[in-house]
Amino acid sequence: MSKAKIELVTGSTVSDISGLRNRLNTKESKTIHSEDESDGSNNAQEKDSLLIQKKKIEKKSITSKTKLNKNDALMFIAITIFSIFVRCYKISHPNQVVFDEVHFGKFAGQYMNRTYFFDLHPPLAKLMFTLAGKLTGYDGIFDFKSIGLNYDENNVHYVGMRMLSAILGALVAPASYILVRASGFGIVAGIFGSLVVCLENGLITQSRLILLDSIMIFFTAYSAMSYMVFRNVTDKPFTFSWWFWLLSTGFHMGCAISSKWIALFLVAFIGIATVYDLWEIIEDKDVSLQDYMNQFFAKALALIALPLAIYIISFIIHFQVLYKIKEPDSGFSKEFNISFEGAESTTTEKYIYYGSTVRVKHTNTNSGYLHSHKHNWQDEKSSKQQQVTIYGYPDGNNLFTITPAYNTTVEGLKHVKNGDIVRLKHKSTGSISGSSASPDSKKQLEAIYTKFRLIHVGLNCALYNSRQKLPKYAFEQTEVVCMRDCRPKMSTWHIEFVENDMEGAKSQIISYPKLTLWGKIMEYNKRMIETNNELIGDHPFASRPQKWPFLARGTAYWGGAGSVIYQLGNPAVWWLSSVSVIVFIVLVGVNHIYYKKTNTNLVEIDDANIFLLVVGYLLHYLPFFLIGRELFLHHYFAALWFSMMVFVCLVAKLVNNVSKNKVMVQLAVYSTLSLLIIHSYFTYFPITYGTQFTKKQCEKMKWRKNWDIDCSHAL
Amino acid sequence: MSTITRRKPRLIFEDSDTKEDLFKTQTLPLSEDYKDNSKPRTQNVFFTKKEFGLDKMDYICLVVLTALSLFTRLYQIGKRKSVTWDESHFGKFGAYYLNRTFYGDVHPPLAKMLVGLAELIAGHDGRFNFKGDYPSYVNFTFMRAQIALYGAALVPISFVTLKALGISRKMAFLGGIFILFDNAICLMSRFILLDEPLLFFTSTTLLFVTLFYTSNSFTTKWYVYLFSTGLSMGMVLSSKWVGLFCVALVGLATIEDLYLKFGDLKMPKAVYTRHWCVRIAAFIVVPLSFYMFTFKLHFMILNKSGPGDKDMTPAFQAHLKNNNLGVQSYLVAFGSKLSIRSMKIGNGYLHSHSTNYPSGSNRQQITCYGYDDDNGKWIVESSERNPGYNYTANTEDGNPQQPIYVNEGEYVRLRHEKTNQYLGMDIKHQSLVTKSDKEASCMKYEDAPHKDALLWKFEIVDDEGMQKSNRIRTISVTFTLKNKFTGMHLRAPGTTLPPWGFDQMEVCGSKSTGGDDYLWIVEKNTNPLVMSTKIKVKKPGFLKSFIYLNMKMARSNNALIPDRDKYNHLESDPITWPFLIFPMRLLGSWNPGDIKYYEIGNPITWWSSTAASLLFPIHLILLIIVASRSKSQEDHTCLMQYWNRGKFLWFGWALHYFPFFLMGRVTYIHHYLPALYFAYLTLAFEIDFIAGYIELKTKLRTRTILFLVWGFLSILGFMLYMPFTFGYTQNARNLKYRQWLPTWNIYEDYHKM
Repeated sequence: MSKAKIELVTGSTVSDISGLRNRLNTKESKTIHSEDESDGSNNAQEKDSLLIQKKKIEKKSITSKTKLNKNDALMFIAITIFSIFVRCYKISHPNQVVFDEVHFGKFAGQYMNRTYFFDLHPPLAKLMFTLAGKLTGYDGIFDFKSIGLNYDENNVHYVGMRMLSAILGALVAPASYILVRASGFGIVAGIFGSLVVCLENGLITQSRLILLDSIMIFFTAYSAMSYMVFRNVTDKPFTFSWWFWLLSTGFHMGCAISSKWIALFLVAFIGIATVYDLWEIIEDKDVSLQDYMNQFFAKALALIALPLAIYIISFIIHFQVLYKIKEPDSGFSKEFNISFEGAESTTTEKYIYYGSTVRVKHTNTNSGYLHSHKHNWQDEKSSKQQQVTIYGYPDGNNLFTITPAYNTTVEGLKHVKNGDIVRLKHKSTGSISGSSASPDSKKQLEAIYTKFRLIHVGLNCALYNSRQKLPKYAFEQTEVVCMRDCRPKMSTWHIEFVENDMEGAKSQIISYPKLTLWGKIMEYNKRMIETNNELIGDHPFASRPQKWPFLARGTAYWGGAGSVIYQLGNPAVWWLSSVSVIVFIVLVGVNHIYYKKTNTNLVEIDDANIFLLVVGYLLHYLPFFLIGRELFLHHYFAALWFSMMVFVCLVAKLVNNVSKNKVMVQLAVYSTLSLLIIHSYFTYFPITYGTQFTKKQCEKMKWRKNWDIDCSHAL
Repeated sequence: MSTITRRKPRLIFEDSDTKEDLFKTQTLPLSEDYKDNSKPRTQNVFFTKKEFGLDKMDYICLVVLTALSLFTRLYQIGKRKSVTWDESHFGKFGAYYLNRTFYGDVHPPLAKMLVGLAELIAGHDGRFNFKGDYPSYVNFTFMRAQIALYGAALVPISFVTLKALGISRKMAFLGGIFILFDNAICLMSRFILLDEPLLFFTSTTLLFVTLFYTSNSFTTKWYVYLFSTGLSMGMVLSSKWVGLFCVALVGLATIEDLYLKFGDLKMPKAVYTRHWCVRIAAFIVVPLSFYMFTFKLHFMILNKSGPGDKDMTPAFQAHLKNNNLGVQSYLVAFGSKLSIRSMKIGNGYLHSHSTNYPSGSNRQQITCYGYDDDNGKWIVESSERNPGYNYTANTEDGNPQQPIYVNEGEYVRLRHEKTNQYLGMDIKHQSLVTKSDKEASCMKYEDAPHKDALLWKFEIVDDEGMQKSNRIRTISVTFTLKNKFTGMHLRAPGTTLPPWGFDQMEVCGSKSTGGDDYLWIVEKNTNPLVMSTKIKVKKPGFLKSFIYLNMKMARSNNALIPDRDKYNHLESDPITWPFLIFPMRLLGSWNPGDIKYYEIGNPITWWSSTAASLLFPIHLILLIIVASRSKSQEDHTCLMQYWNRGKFLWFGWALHYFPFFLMGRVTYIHHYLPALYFAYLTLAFEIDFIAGYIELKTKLRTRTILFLVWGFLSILGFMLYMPFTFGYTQNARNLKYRQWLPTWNIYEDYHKM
């Protein structure tokens, strides 16, 4: 029933299986039907053939299994050595800050200085760079201020950090070998697979610099590889190798999402693959319900709990390392900021009386404080009265005095309570704005802790932060309006600062509560989401997903004398990989239709492993179309790796189908493809490694018009 | 060696019609079509006796249900004597068909025409504009009653649908009771609204499509059901665009059916092709033609100028009776005062105002604005005369000047009347929003960067005039405006300017042409020298107006965007609907003495229908698991029965519900009613299935018990909220114990200030 199973993944669901089943059933029931009339011998035959057919179909579903052996271990080591050589060749060149090293080098430095910073990526990969830098002598003094700064002149030990990236990038090649082997193909196919990955110029460029992607791809590859190996041992649950590969999948997945959020696509991939495999087991009657549930929980533990734990641990380390803060980060709440050493703490008196001077802050944003100044509204239709705005920084103009609404003289000390009708008198100009707090229960107001809304008594509307910038005559501060029926999020305020100069006022000093570690992690992650969504820019090399699979354009990383680094893949690999994904999908579709009519396959390519890899590719590629933020070519690398694996497996599968002269055909196919890829690798060698090249070489590289390699740098 | 069970299989589903063991004679229905009709199969896809029919008991059930339904829908229907809820819109729209004035709305016309028909039968003449109390000459009770009949028909239709799906009579009756005793469906049937025609056509579509699947291929009955389905689809689509979900439901079922037939190796190709052809005819051609037919009627009936004129092209407006575009100066002469309109839908008129661009050239802005106001008037000047020359003043000897008409290809200047500046274009500055294009601006004659920067040439693209010539004529010709200096065409790409441009539309210049962006038309032309005449423009073809109006409707639909900062007591998010979290007051004043209507469903059945709908996919997966683990025929049959019967109901619910999450526009709880209809039928189906299963295992008379329990509960729920359905006049606080959720606003508002 391999047909039916593959269909399940594509989503044609029940009707499909039942369609197949129906056909079988129809035949069966007809057989039963006609038995009364004839002697039944014919029918028995027919039935037998039917059963055989059914069994055949069932047999096909068992995916080919491979047992990895000693040879594979040797191959693993050999490929690793070769691959490391390819990645690390002249790794110290260029000795300047290249592209995004400016960020990630700087972050490593910040970790060493242990001062807090915000970045939109999770911390694991950056922490790994820090460790690598620490071990190889980087001291955190150099701050990677701008692209092109010279490392040697500044005496920076940068090679260690680049080596980390390069070695992890290199290790993707042996993982690809294992994946191809685990998908049921031979050693030759495996070597071819590792060669394709090894000589992919884009991956090489990316892994020679201090960038997060090579680390993320390393974890992605190992997670996918572990899962593919795991699929070979699914029929032996709870053995050592079963646990090992399952946990390895979860561990690498956790590391991947702790490096970059893009790895969420990997989570989706592993999730779908797991559901698919669980569904396969469900049909297996040998597995009891108890067993099934055990497997289910084991998988949940390894693939949900473990990655989540790793993610959280990476943040715990992050905040343990970064305990100091230099200047408050206005993107975060006050509570967050004062949880670090070195933050200015805001202290205030706790109780609020009539006559107190207060500073009122908007609670749910960081827009700032209720503010007024000696300028009037100027628009034609405005009241021409004094402006009230929200202003980001505490100053004298956002101090207000609370006075009662009806009885301006207060005898003695009186607490301001919830529901009281008050006026807020602007301290420095003496203007008045009237308001009351919401009348639920008579609770005393306290600074910082009491969150309240200010309701205008006459109009029954709440003071509301519209988040709109005012025009120049109001100094582009934030607008405050009074809105009816508004939701509380933008109309909640609290008092941040109180000053009581009355006699007998209880003075108890309080400040914002510090956040717990968990609170810090939550707020940090929330901010990461927001920042990611806000990332809209017009970087000259930003690109949209439709440009990626056929390599419409590269990214210029660096230019020096007689050499450039231009992020462009190995075109042969990119194109062959993208084409093979399309070919596979088309062939599966054609096969499906052909099968419906003839019960045989047109081309024998149905393979659950390749299918999963294609799903992996699509999951790493298609979601980008929904993402509005600025994207770059390097976002495609994880998808590219999956497509390369599809390419290799598809070639191996098609070659396997050849019946005559198998060895010769294999030799011809693999050597032709390898030569093509090697040729293309050497053509783009200079812009990958940033070595010297000539104008002639440069012009030769422009296989497509849009590849804007800067030939003016060439010799 | 045989693994196929040979024992006599049991039947899980009770079939109300036959007590014989169906399994024994079963041939699955997928490959029967090519057989000769002399030996028809005995079962249909729903595993019931092939030929669907109702017996005497069924008819009794139908009569009972219909009588109760008519009672609940019509009882005290005229109690509130003023215009209630959206009657103010839809009653008014119906009346437009009587007084024949053109109006604009976001919904297709069929349901509103039916409202118009009801008003016509009730003797309305279209005078009343549905505001405030009904005057004595409007027989609103009769109008409401006629519309209520559509709602009343839902109940018997749901019964027959469930019967056709092979559900037992008791449970089909129960399904009818669910619809009958739902307060929200009942309440919405009692006013002049579009919901009940919509629900009615939704239910007929479902009914006919199920009947279609019960009948033998290519028989007369089959054809009748087939084309009735198609026609119902056309009707539901012409009532509201949510009818598309109904079309999607039938479409998905058809795709599945054709796909299964494709795998039927014994079916001859000719038969298979025939299946395709009739389905294309019935499910695509018929609904689409009907949809267009309703618009044809719409255009035919509404032939007078009215509030919706602006939604149509100028040429269309010119042909409406009493429209002031119909009679004006026809030829454009120098000195004419023009209103120039962009042909791209939603752009409006070429506009300028005394505010400058904040950057770029810093010259005066050129925009497109939706209304034709004083800032949208342009004076055509000849390039041969001095700027500001008065073409319309008398000559020195006191005689009026001869008008000089503007020809195609002649360079002219366009002077903005209000600010006395000229439309110009400069090659130096890129447009501030569409960066690839150049900025168009208004400048003083002296400030022009080049003497040609202010010169424009009309290039006629399309001529709809009765007679052709190379003169520029009002409304008749569509043209592009080409600048002499830059060689670029004036373009309105349809992008909105930031607040500095008052959210008006951008205007810029671009080398290329093609598309509506570049096309302009003179909509108004005032010139004292040119006589006002009837505009000699061809009436735009039906297809053109049809497409234009539909695009306009789509735009207006998307423009209904909710304000996320405010609480709104009427709007509700789709996620809250299945749980009945925010019922809605139909009226603002909620004092004792007011007749209060509250749109709340029958909570008991509403919540259980949600439970059933959520249960369906889980149940289906369980059945697939059981079937795939078991080798017995009966498990497969069970799965097939569950799937074939349930898919119409559950997918109906899902397709009518989930797309609302993707919609950006405001949504109200009554948008859930079509989905609710399917959810109730799903509930009846689920109860029937589970009861059948229990009956098989325990011999308990589960169906009877469940029938009584659910029947009682739904009546109880209906009774509890009946006051708000029939109109409650006393203090709503009396009913405060019926407020089961804190978010309901039965007696006071949840969101207090």
